[in-house]
Amino acid sequence: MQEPVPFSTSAPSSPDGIGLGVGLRTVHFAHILKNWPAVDWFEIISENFMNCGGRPRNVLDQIAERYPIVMHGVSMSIGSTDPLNLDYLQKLKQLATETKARWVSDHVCWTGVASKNTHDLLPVPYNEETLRHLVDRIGIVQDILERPLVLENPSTYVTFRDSTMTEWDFIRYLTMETGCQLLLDVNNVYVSSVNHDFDARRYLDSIPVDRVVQFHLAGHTNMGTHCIDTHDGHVVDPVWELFRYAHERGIRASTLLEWDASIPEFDVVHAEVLKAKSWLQTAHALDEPYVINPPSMETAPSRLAGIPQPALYATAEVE
Amino acid sequence: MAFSDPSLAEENALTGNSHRNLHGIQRWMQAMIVNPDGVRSGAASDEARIAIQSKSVSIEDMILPSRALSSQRRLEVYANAYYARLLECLRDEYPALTSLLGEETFNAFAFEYLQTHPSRSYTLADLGQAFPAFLESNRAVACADDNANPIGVEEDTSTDQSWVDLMIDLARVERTYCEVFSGPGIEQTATLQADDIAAVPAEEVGDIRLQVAPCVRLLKLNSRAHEFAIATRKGTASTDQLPESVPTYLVITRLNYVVRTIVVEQEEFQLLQLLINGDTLGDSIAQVADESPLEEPEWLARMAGWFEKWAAGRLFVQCVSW
Ligand SMILES: [Fe+2]
Repeated sequence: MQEPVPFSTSAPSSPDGIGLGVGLRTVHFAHILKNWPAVDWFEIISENFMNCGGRPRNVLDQIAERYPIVMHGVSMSIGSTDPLNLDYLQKLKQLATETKARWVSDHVCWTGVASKNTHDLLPVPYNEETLRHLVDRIGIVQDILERPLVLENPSTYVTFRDSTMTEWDFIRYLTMETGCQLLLDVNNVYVSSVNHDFDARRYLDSIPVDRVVQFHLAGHTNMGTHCIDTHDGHVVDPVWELFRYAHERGIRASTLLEWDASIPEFDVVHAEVLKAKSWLQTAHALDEPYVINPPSMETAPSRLAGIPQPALYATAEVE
Repeated sequence: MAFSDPSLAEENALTGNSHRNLHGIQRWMQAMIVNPDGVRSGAASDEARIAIQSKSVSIEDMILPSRALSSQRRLEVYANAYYARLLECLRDEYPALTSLLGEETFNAFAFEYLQTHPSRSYTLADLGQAFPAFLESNRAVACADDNANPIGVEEDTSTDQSWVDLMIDLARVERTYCEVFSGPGIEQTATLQADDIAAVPAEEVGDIRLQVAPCVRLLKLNSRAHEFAIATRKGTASTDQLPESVPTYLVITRLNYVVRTIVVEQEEFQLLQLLINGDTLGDSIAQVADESPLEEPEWLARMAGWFEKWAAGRLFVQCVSW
């Protein structure tokens, strides 16, 4: 089969990985098909396309002919004590083959137990039992997918008494034991650092530089007492500063902006991820003390009851 | 290799001796999050106690507080998100029903629905699958629910009845729209043309069967609910003008990735049902013709019109004879 011709033959917008990408959302379909914007790559939510024979899948096929595609899932439930869903994994693999996905990611989380799916990214207690459990399951998934699994740190809102290690140590051990790769969501590190009172830089210091293949950037909602990962706005400066800090630590990876609620026009979303270039150009002088602004507790929440991601649903076109 | 951080392990260790493995913790946490009466009730539930194999475990025994939030408030972020997310998803799937009932009443039905039909699928597209059947099975409850009836004619049971009919019809139409929109289609497939049947030798025509397109659904409704469903999606619906209560026969399909609704006559619907069931063309026609009050020439002319319409609507993929 012939290799797809990438739409843009110029170098990616950033020297890192496949450049600066945008999360593919149905509201932007018409714009993309009409204008074929010069974005480096698209990330799709895998579950939105796995059982889809309609318009969304047709649009994806057209986009996959012109742009690199990365698959990002929300239902693998790698941390659950329920059995892995082999039918799901086979469909995931098939979609990865059909879209020539560069890599396949999901989250360090569980989504449900006792056959139920809460459709949330629930945290696991970080201890040796959980570590063994995830190591075994990541191995099985990697065997089925025949590629390394890429795992993302989720935004979390609770910590467990049963945790015996930090999230960053847990994630580092996972990569050491399984060879899995990482999707470092800088906004999630920030959100969790606020929610769990830790230093976000300490988290980034512990992440193995050579395992990160992708960054996520997104907006969140500051509730005053905690932050919620709502993906409904611009990336705040402290998150950009963390992104730059990760870069200064030597992490080089493809970068993607997620915008999932109150989604503006495509160009606004695209412009947001392109800001990464200027943030990295104004590199921090290393001898300056590194200050990441704490969240302002006065900030009014942009949505009173923000729904944490993931929330996804494609509306039918009817005439 | 030992991974635990001894200081953290000590700091977090429980004074009690309850047995909590990962499975138990997950069952416990899920019981908290999905409990309809909130996380406090969740903590007191049998489900939670069984999960942890302990007579009483408080939220504080399981979840650490943060500087700004108590253990309970932190867990409530997940509990609130669970219902907010799934109700939003159901509202997105049933926009016309939401508009008919009002968001509050719709949410009340959807909340009840989630108690008996939690998601068991990796995709949210399956979440609302059983919602029409759920409403149907709660018909009596819906009739009694004054909130669900803004017309508020309590004594008039026929009005109540048609109101509930409309509600269930809308749910069925909207669910069908979703399934047809994202299911398999005929965009890349050739479909049956009138000529294809004409090409079959006359003596074999009666024995052929028609293979229906995978996106075609038949719906018999008690109202013209589809008009309200479509108007809602176009932003032109008004709850002051509700659809007429009248037996309605619909064919729903997808052409060029857009869902189409075709209103058909009762006899046409019946014939389509038989053909889709896999009956032969001859048997299907004979059965419907038998019951028709029309004379044969008139009936044949009408049927010819239907076949032309079906070919234009691309309802059948091919004819097979065996
Ligand atoms: Fe993310």
